[in-house]
Amino acid sequence: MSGVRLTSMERGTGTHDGSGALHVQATDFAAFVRTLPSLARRNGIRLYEVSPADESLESVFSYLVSR
Amino acid sequence: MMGGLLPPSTGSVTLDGEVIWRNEQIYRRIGLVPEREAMYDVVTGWEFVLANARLHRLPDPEAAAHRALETVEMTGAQGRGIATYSKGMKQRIKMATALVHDPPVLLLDEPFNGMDPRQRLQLMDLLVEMGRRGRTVLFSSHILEEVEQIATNIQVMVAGRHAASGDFREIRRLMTERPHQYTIRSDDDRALAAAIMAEGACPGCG
Repeated sequence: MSGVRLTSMERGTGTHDGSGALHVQATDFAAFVRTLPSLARRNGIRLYEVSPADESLESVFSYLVSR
Repeated sequence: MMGGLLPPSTGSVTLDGEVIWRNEQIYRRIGLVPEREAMYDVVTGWEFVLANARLHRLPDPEAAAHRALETVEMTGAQGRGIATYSKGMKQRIKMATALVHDPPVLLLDEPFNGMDPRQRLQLMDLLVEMGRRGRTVLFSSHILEEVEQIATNIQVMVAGRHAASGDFREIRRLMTERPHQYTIRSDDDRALAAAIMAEGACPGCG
């Protein structure tokens, strides 16, 4: 996926199904949300959760301050 | 400046096209809730709100005071001296005085300061309700969680400068230089990770 960066992969600890989670960075938000579902489907992978990790006013504010 | 207490150094502040500075008529349409805690402690909540209704020369000050106290749910304690009120109750009395003349615009300066979690929830509900009834509610706050939950239009100030404006998700989306962070869970994270990497034509991914 263009403009997407896999930042880390957790194993096991503290997640509801014990399988961990993927942490992904996407520079192109629109391309990412379009591509991910079809990519998962083509590979026969079921997505349980896709949630933004920094979509809060708190993070927006800290980004603005650090500019 | 929005409350008409300070003149703008350049430009003008207007409400529906009318300049606010040195225009006391504007207070018929603005309700101000200052941050300052100091109030007239020797009077009761009822007396304080009623006095404000009379200052506005409302045709029926008693009815207006009663309605304002009902809006902030303070009728039960209205007969007590203001000195006996908690912070949240004082805040609500201040709000009642700002609402007594039924202004279309309500300005609140840091209304959540010093409130306990229960009082904060109550105030949040109240502000949302005011907005729903068609009032323009404008409040300043540095408690971002609350802003995020109740505000529909956010103005971000950084070090005295206007930095961003609008819905915070929109603002976030416009910050294209910051990659978006996502957490993904699937039935096969390893395979998904591999698939994302395989598709990736981005240099330096991994």
